Amino acid sequence: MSKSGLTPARMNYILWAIFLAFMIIPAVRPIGIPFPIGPEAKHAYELVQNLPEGSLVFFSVDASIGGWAEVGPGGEALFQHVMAKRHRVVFVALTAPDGPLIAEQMVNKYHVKDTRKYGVDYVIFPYLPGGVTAAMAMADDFWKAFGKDYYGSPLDTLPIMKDVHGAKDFKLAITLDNNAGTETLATQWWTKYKTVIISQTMVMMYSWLRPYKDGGQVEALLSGARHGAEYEYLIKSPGAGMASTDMISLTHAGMVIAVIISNSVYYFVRKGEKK
Amino acid sequence: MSKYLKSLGALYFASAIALFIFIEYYLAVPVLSAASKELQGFAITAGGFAIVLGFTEMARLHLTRIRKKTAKEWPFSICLLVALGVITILGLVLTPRHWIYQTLFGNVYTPLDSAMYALTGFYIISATFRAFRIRSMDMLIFMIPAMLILMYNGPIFAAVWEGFGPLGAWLVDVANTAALRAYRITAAVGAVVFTVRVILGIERRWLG
Amino acid sequence: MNVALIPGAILTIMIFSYIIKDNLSFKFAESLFVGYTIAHQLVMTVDGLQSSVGGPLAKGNFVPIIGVLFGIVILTRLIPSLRYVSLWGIALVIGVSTALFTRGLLGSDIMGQITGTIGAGIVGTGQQIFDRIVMIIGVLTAMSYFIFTETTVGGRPIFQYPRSIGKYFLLIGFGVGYGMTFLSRMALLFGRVVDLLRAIGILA
Repeated sequence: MSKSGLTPARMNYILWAIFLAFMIIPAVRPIGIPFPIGPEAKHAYELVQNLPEGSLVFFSVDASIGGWAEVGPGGEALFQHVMAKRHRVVFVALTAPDGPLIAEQMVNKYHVKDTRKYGVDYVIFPYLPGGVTAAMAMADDFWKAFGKDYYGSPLDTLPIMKDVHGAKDFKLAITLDNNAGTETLATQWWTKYKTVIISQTMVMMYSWLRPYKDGGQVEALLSGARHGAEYEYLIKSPGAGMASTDMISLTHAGMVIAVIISNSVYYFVRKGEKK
Repeated sequence: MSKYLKSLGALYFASAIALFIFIEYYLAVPVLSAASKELQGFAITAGGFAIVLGFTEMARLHLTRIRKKTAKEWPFSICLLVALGVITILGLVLTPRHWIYQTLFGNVYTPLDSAMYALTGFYIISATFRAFRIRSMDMLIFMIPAMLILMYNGPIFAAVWEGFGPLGAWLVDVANTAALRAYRITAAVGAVVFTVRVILGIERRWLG
Repeated sequence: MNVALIPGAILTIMIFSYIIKDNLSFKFAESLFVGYTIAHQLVMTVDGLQSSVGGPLAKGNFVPIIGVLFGIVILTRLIPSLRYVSLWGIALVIGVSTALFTRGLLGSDIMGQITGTIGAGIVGTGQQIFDRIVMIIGVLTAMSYFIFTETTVGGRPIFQYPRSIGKYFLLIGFGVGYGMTFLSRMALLFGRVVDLLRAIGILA
C-alpha cells in the first residue's frame, strides 16, 4: 500500500466516494433492476388481506425515527394496507418513545382522517415506559394500562375501545421494530395469548429474530427496505422501499467486487513477500 | 444501621415480588391476577421516574463541567444543557402534540438521529474492505456466508443466477437459525438463572 | 431547493464531517443530539404516565398513586444519605420485570425454540430431512460450545469435536448477521443521502 502512496485514509475516501455514487446515481436516475417477491412479504400480505374487514389490529410503532429509513418503507406499506382493508387499528409504542409521533406522521401523510374516523376506526396511545411490563399490562387489561389516549380522551369516550380489553381481542399484532419490540411481543403476547404477529424489523436484526419465525412465535418477519419494497409492490404503492432496490444492487455488487479485489491484492502481495 | 441491613429489606422485597408475579401466572386465580396487574402498573409508573434520575445526573455532570470550565468540553456542555432545557420545557408545557414540538422533531431530531445511525454506513464499507481477507479457516467460514448473503440481498445477483435466492434462504433459515437458536436458548437459561437468584435473594449486584 | 429540509441537511453534514476527523461542528451536533434525546425521552415518558396515572385519578381511582410513591422513592437516590431508601423502588421494578421477562422466555425462548428445533421430526422430503438434521446438529453443537467451556477434564478433551462443529455453525451465523448488517447500514445511509438530495433540489 505505502509503495503506491495509497494511505488507508485515502483508500477510505475513495471507497466512500464510490459507494456514495452507487447511492446517488440510482436515486437520481432509477435503473429499474427487477427484484423477486419472496415468501415472507407474500405471507405478511396474505395475513392482512385475509382478515375480515373491521378486525382489530394492534399496531406497535417500536422504531425510533433514526432507523426509519430501514423500517419505514415496510411499516408504511403495512399501515396503508391495514387502513385500505378498513381494519380497526390501535396504535401503541411499547419500546420507542418516538412511536406516537411517528404514528401521527403516518396518519397525516396518508390522509387517513379523510376516510377513517379517529376513535371509531383507529386510536393512538402514548408511549408507556417499561417495555416488557408495559406489554403485559396492555395484554392483560388495556383499560388498566391506559386511562386516556394520546390526545387526552378518556377511553370510555372512544367507541373502538368497547371491543378492546386485552391481547385476546386483537386478530393481529404488527410491530415496526428497531428496539426490542418483536422480542417483547414474542415473549409476552405470544407466550400467554398466542397472538399472530407480523414484525417489520431492521435487516441487521433479522438473523437474530429468525428463530422466532421458525419457532412459530412470529408469523411473518419482514426485514428492512428490501421486504418493504416487496410489500409496496404487492399493495401497488411504490415508495422509498422500491426506490432503494437499485441502490441495494449496486452497493452489494460493489462490495463483493471490492472484497474479491482486496483478497486478490492480499494474496499476491503475500505471495511476493514469501518469495 | 449497617449498609447490609439497610439493603436486606429491599432484597427480600424484590424476591417476594418476583416470586409472586412468577407463580401467579401458573395459578390463574382471579384475585392473584388482579393483584399482579396492579403491581405491574406500579412498576411501570415507578420505572418511568427512573428517567428523571438519568436526566438529573446528566444535568449535574454537565453543570459541573461548565462550572469547572473543563478544557474543550464546557462549551458543548452549554449546548447540551440548552437543548435539554428547551425541549423539556416545550414538551412539558406545550405537549408533544403541539406543532412547534413536532416541527422540531421533524427538522432537528429526525436528521440528527438518522445521521447518527447512517454514520456507521461509512465505517462498515471500509471495515468490510479491510477485514474480509482470508487469513485463516475461521475467517473463511465467516466470510463465505457473509458474501453469499450479500449476493442473496442484492437483487442484481438474482438476475445473474437464480440459485443465490434459495442458497441464501437456506443459510438464513437453517444454518443461521440453528446457531442463533442455540444462542437464544442458552441466553434464556441464563436469564432464568438470574430470576431464580433474584427470587432466592442471592442476586445482590443491583443493590450497588 | 427545499428550504424546509435545509436545517436537517446542515445537521446531517455536521454529523457526517466526523468521517474526515473529529471536529467542533460534529461535537456541537452531537451535544445537541444527546441533550435532545434525553429531554425527548423525559417528555414522552411523562406524557405516557399522564395517561396511565392521570386517567384513573380523574375518575377517583387513587390506587395508581402507590406507583407514584414508589417512583418518588426511586428519586431519593439523588440524595446520598437516602440512597438505601431508593432500593425499595428499584426492588419493585426489578422484581416485576425479571419475573415477567422470565415467564415469557420460558415459553418463547426455551420451549418454543426446542419445539422449533425438533419440528415435526425427521420426516418429509429429502430436503426437509436434511434441513432438520442440520438444524438439530447445529443447535446441539452450538449449545455445547457455550455450555462446555472447560475444554479438558482430567487432561482429556471433552466434547472437542462437537464444540468445533458448534463454533463453525456460530461463525456461519455471525457471517450471515454481518451480511445482513451491511444491507442495513447501506439502507440507513441511503435514507440520509436521499434527504440531502431533496434539500439541495436534485430530487423532488
